Amino acid sequence: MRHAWHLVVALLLSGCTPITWTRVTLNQPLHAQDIRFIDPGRTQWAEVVRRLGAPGELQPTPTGFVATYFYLDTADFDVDLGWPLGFIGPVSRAPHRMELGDTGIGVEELEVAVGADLRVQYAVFADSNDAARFKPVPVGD
Amino acid sequence: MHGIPAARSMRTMLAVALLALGGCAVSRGDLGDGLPKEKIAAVKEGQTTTTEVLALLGAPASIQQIGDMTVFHYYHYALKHGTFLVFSRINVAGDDTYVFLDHAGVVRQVLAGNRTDRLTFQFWPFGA
Repeated sequence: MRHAWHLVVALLLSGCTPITWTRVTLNQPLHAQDIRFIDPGRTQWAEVVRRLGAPGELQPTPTGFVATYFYLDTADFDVDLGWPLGFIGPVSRAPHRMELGDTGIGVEELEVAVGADLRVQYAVFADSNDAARFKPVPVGD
Repeated sequence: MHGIPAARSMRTMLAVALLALGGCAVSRGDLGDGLPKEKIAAVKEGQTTTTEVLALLGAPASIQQIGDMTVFHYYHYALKHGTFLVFSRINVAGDDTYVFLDHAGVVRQVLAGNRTDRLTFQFWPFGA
């Protein structure tokens, strides 16, 4: 029993675990209050850059360009329910992996349209960031 | 059943090694080379020419035409990963640098991102 406990601790410490939570993020999120200063038709592009930094992408448009700021958040949960069977003699030789997992990916984009006069035409969020949450089972909404 | 001191210290060292090597991991990755800040600072709006930009910063990753301006785009992405027991966190950030050049080939604007400066190693996957 004492050796089994040592083995469990050793496996936990070596990363061979039946359960994992993993989070991946790209950049930092922007919020509505971060773009409250933007007054379409008046705010200069230089002011946007000064406050929000360089965008992740620039796309030309017929009247100027669209600057896009990206944020990505991923939450992944996995559990292998068959993992304990690996310690039961004859059963351990048979396939016994029973994995449940769920990955939520949230993407947030801020698009800032800039005209030929280098003034902001509009700034709008396109986000589905709520999707990035840990869920224990891959069923339901 | 008490081990001799040498064996005991060996077990302690083994436990520490497991803790240090097995239970946690940190790693780092980079996509592209970051542009040195002093080289970006050397690009002056209204003064530096296309040839000088290329000499300072090298070839851009992409070139776009926006209105009457040519835009050079440089990027660098950095990744920091931490794992502790069952928890992992991977943080990625990108530095995008844009150099806007007018029809005469002179720099009109330089945008330089510095998100990778604030990138941290974390292992706790919950919260912000």
